[in-house]
Amino acid sequence: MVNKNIIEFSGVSKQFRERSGETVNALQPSNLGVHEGEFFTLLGPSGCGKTTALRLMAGFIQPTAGEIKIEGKTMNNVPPYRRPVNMVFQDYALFPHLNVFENVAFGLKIKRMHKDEIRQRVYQSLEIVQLSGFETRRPGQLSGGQKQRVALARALVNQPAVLLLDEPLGALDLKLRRAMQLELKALQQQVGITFVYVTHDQEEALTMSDRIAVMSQGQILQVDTPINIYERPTTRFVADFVGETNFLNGKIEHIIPGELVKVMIGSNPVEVRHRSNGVRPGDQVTVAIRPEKLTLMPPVSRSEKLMATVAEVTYLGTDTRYIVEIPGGEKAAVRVQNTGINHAPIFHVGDQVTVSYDLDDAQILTS
Amino acid sequence: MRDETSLNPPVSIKDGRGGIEKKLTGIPRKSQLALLVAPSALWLIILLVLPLITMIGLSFQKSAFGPGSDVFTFASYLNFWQNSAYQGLLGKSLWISLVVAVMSIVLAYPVAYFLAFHAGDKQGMLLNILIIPAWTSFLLRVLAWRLILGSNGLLNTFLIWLGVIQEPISGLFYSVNAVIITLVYIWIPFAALPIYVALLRIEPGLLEAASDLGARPWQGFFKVTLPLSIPGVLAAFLYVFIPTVGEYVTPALVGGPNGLMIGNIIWDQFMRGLDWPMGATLSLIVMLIVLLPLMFIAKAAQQTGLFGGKSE
Ligand SMILES: Nc1ncnc2c1ncn2[C@@H]1O[C@H](COP(=O)(O)OP(=O)(O)O)[C@@H](O)[C@H]1O
Ligand SMILES: [Mg+2]
Repeated sequence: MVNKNIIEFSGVSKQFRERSGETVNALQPSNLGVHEGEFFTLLGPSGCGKTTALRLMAGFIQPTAGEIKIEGKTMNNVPPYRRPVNMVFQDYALFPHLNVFENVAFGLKIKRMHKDEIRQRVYQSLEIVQLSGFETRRPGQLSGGQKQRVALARALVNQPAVLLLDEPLGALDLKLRRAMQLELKALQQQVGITFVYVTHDQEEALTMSDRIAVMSQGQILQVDTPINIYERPTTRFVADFVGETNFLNGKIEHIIPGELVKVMIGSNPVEVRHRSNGVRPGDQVTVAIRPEKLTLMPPVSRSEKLMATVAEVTYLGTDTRYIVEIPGGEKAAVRVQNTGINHAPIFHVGDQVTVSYDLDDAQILTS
Repeated sequence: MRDETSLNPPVSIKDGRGGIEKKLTGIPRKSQLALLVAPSALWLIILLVLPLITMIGLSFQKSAFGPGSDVFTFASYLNFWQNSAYQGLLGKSLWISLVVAVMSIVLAYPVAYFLAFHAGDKQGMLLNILIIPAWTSFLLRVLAWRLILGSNGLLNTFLIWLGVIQEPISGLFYSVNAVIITLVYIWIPFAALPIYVALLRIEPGLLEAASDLGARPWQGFFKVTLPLSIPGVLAAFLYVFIPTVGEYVTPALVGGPNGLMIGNIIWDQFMRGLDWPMGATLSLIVMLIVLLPLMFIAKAAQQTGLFGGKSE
């Protein structure tokens, strides 16, 4: 199946000029394609340029360079009010002088739609966000979660080609957040509109998205499915930002093409499945592996296995977290589920252990 | 970006009290409040309540001095009721005040709008330029308009020089129009300030939201900016309308016989006619009529939560 791009960035960048005269590169020249109908997430730490990218799509700011296309049409210099997208703002930006009905009807009234149709569509979208009966309330009389729903209804009612959401759950407490994440995802599938969603919460991104773009310092580092972002991060930043990862620095000893790469971490050999990312014997690389992909076993004296000493044990209820020290100084975190016979930590500080893992779960990172 | 500190509305009593409360610990809470309110309450009584009571008393006296001062009578009120000249003048004063208030707002709004949204770095400087003339003597500024509107004034001279007119237009000066023009000029800064403050308080995100929902800039103005600045517009209206109804200096200086307002008659009753009871009666009637729109607006504002009450 060929995915049609509903939003396309070609070499799009954005520089802001500060009052001091300095320029801020909020977005480095980037290429990006958002597929039609998908739940697409921009993920990254605060200040990495997520909002900037979203505001470029909405048209509140113009790119310094590059071309933005929406539904195949160039959007450079097209003002926000002529773009087929709608936004759910981080602080909701509900009109305080209008009630819920009037807020939601705002876009339709501008389009001079017939009164009866406005009524019908407003009621329908309030029903979708489960706010029927709140029509005459003012934004000031709503809770945070309700405001968020009004903002959502106000955007959805216009049936945009793309809905842009800037950390819409950011102001909600954790429990409501969790519930809304699932609701939003279900809603997106129900209405079938493309969502571009901004968040700094990796868990939220993994839960909701069809694809995720991980950003850092104005750069889009990796665009992929949640599984691949988590299991196959291509950069150290992505591996580190999304979930916890052990980074072991070492040197490539030899490569068996298509099979495995042997990396020496100090004097310890570590084997990783070979994937063609252009590494050669002698290269300095980082091996990345998630704590939950490692397991500990009593020591066995086979040279291909990684030997270590337990340095820390933390009992976490469902899991036990170990920190093990590999001769040469590198440390790694290991997470073991407390199931079956392992219902309590079975290793103790100072124990010699063998660290084992599936070849496919380790990654070689060059940057 | 914006220097809001200087123009923000006064800190609410709740915020202000915290600091003082700490120093007054040991005194019961109720007495604390009484202590804090006492000075301003005293001022209010001396400057507002006492004169008001005196005026009310005076309006029911037969005369201010001599034997008639002990006689209780409705004569002054009856006099107002029967004398259409008084009523006409009051109506005219209200009309002039309305025109002045509306014109001041219409002219001040763009100034305030420009200051709030398009002045950028120069906001502070432009604000000062707007306010500084208001610091110079009121009388001086009224007299300046004599130089502009008079028979040999700037405007007539200029129009004659242009050849638009041969003879000086006399209607410019000593007329109702002169009163209106002068007052509008004087009130513009006072009308602009509350509007400016109201505009500053509008979150820029709301206009972006309007634009996102398809509103062109002018639609965004009429559907978002203007309605949200209404509290400022109402405040401006009251700032201008209330003092204008009782205005007597400007009509005396530039109004001529046709440009007189009710304030001039009240002045006459006190200073020339020496009919103080009539003067007091007229003052009270003017005050009552001015209070009406004030109460109306306050009530409307409360109901709609316009002044920040219920809304965000
Ligand atoms: N209008 C602006 N003027 C100057 N700098 C800006 C402006 N908007 C954003 N920036 C800067 O651009 C960078 C990216 O900002 P933003 O896109 O808001 O990040 P995020 O949404 O990921 O937190 C930040 O360093 C921010 O300070
Ligand atoms: Mg942001």
